[in-house]
Amino acid sequence: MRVLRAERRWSQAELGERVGVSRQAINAVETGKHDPSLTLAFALAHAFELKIEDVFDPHGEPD
Amino acid sequence: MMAADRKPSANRRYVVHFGIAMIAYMLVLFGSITAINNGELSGWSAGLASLTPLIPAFYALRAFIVRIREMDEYQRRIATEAILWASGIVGFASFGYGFLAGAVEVPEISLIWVLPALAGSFGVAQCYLYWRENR
Repeated sequence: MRVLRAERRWSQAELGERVGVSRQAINAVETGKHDPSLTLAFALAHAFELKIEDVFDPHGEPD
Repeated sequence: MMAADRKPSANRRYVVHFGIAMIAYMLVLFGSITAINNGELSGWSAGLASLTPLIPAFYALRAFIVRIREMDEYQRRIATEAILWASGIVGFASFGYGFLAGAVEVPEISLIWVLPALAGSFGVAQCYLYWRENR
């Protein structure tokens, strides 16, 4: 997710604003310290204009 | 989900309502202590007057609960864990002190310190949890 955000030149705060959560929440998701709810995961995928499975891999490491 | 859309105003609203509650608490506390010490009240009326500071304190609690509801899922998880730590620390400390008081002579501690201890423990626990998550 960090890569997708960097590609769009968004800060964590900017992405947080787009999906309606705090900068800390985005940081926690990116570092794998918080598993996002389904609602947040869909909102993040929507912000990146991607499918949810293109943003999150349930078996993968946090990026 | 759109919690952060309202975040600045939610924070401001919380500070305003909590501030009003604290000012009201001090005024009501001062009023009730003055009335009781002046001997204007006695018996049940003095007892009721001593409880009046709880009214603004409940308003502060309501402001805190509203703030928790308006947090995003990550902030709420941290706050919830901090509340559990605070409840556990204060609960076990008072439980342990009770056992201690049954066995040896210890200074009597007023129950009025339970709420400040809870609030303080919550603040410390929340700071620690954010620090732990971000280190």
